[in-house]
Amino acid sequence: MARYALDASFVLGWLIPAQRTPLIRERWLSFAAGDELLAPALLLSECTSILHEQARARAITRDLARHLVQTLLRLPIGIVDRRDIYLRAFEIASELNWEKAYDGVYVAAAELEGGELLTLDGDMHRGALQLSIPSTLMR
Amino acid sequence: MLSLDGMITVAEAARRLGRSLEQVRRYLREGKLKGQRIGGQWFVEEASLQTQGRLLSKELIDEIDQLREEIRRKHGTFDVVDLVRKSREGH
Repeated sequence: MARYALDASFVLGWLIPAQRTPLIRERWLSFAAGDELLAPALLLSECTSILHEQARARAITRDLARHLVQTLLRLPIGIVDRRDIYLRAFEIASELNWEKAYDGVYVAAAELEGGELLTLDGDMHRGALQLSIPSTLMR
Repeated sequence: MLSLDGMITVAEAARRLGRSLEQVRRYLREGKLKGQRIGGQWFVEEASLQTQGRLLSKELIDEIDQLREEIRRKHGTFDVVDLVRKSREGH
């Protein structure tokens, strides 16, 4: 049994067609019974907002975007509900000199919950590794 | 008459799933893997390895595959890292 911390790119990269979807799909299918998928609540906010933005820009029909939000909510992802994530995210963003703290929230969730970070984002991946947090870049 | 066609040993199932022998036996007891007990020894239905023992149900995987294919046909592909970055702009 293993524990993984997911970011928005890893989740969206499976739900919608992306350049690396075949690789990401294989990773999703490789999760075994007993594995734990975790994410901060930010994951649901970001994915929902992005799908809304894409529907509003007519890049995806509203019905499909709504269906994607429904599917997102059915994924077996445990939402990490602890306030110390945000202070740690602030510290991580400061330490890595990131402009914003959003990535820090995902990295902090991985660190505090002891999970391996799974992301498509090279900057987030490298930041996690700098802090000795296990991370896999899907590419 | 018992048949071992399409059946594999617990050890082989454990090797393919990357799980321990005890975990595979637990999956069998919990019904997460299909199998038969023959002569006191468990055998696993090879086909059940394709979907059983996974975290995600086949139904959910199939639904997401269909949904994604429909989006690809209608709208093409997306750069999801870029979508996340752009969504945060101005915040």
